[in-house]
Amino acid sequence: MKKLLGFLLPTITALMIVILVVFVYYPWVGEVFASRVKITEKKDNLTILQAKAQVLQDLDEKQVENYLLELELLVPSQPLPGYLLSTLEDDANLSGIIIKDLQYASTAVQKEKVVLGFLIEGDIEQQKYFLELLKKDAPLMEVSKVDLLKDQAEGALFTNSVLLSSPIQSIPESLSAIETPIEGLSTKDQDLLKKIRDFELLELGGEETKVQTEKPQGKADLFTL
Amino acid sequence: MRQWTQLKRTTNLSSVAISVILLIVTLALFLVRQNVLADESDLEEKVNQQRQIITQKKSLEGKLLSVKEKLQVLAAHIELSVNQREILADIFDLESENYHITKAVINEERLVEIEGEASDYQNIADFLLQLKQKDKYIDFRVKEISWDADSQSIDYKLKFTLKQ
Repeated sequence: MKKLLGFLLPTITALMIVILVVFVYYPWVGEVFASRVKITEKKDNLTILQAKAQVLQDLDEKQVENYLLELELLVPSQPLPGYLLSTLEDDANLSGIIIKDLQYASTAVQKEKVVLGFLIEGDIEQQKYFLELLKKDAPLMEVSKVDLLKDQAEGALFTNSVLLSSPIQSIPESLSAIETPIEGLSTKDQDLLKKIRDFELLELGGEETKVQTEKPQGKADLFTL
Repeated sequence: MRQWTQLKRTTNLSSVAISVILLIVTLALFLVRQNVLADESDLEEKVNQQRQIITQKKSLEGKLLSVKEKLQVLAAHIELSVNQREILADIFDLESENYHITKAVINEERLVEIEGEASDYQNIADFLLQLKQKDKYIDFRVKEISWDADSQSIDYKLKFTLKQ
């Protein structure tokens, strides 16, 4: 018995090794490795988020709002038939052409665009001017198809069958995941934004009406002369 | 007996040494683990901070996204409309006494078809040459040319595509 007691310490040490390996080292090492993987992922994530947050912080919200308002006039979020037709009417009046067979129905709204077909009648110069005016119109209008039919009876007059399409771009209903990177306004975007002013936009607001804050006041003391 | 005592002593000493090493290893592993966990927690906090900033600017992100989408439409429009209007202007400019254009079609696939009348073949050749000089039309094809004896004119049908 005394002999066996002499091996008590090595036995305890051996048991301790087993216990430590099974219950401490193995879970801890596993935890450290798992954390390392998570840290690498989080670092990547953080880089993306920091870049995104920086882009958003560098933007002037008021300016972006103004850009959006101006772009809304060029590329509306929903069909604006009244606005579209009145623009065409103005162009026709300015160029002197006659618009015929123009009808707007709900069927005109197709995949992210309003499609309008009509006839225009006028001489070459008038038609060229009309097309030139379309180029600068807001909302945007693309001539997607033209049938030029010379009116033999009228000599110099042409009847042109035009198919116009005006793009629509709806406002996004939901945003992508928070980790999805975004880009700020690039130089190309800035150049395009400068071109917005080339189009005939409606006046946006104008001078703000000043609210009269000072009320008319009478005498401080009514009983003095 | 002496050997037995020697063995016992060596074993006990080894056990003590192993215990000390185990203690050091455990301590080191504990420190490494704490350090890694602290790093992870620190990163988590930073990620949450950035998420919070982005969430606060959600409305701005939506506006920016919308601006970018609309700008893409605008860019496509500017690029396309230049070519379409150029060709319309070209067709109108080419109309003359020598080659009357009776019909011109520009379809959505950017294919242009012109029909007209000319007094002789030389005029049609001139007309084609002028179009080629514009350097924006490709794939010329004369679809049809016919001579009308009554009107002393040649009817022509041309087909070509716009350069991309």
